[in-house]
Amino acid sequence: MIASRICVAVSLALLALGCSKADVRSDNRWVAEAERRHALADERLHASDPTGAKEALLGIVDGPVVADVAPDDRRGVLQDTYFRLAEIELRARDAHAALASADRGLALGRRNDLFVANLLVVRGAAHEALGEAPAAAEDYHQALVINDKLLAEALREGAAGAPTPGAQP
Amino acid sequence: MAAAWLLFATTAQRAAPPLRASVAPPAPPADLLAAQAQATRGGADASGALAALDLKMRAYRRQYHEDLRRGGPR
Repeated sequence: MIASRICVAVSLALLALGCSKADVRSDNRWVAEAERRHALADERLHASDPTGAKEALLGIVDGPVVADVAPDDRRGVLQDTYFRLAEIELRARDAHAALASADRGLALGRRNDLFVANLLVVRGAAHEALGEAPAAAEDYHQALVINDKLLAEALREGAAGAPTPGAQP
Repeated sequence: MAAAWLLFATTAQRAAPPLRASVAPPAPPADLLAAQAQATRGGADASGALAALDLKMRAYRRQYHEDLRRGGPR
């Protein structure tokens, strides 16, 4: 009798769990939350409140890890957030904190994309603020190499979309 | 008990959606790349150039987040 009641209770609990998770993807919720926090950081910076902006962004990098977000999507969102954190910390003249944020972002992985180049730029600026000129030059150079590749791609895509000179309409 | 196990197996399968393929970030526009290149110059105006880069990033970021929510570019 007791076993049968437990069985029914467990079945109902599992059914409720299944229904609650079936429709909404948690990766979308995670991105929406990151989007909301970036918008809040924009608002706080506009109101000259860098501390509030930083708190809003820390909620993204310190928040729970969502299992069903593609690893490269997670990297992009987190690296972009670390860039903003480092930029805010540099503004507050805390170059050590900026360096640490940029390092945490770069530790998530390297690609030839805008997010990695931004982190290299902000880390270069942090090194520069700390009087570490060779390290700053190295980071700026690496950022420029990626920037140059992205610009070449943008120009190629632009040229592909543009009409050929001299072609008949 | 068997019914409970069957229900558990079915719900567990429904609760774990397959991992979605990653979404390529949008191609950065030329003015954003120019702001980034400017920030790599460092020097006295480094913080101004970084703040300008952060401002330029906002539209790009919104587009990226929108693409992620949609599962790809429009």
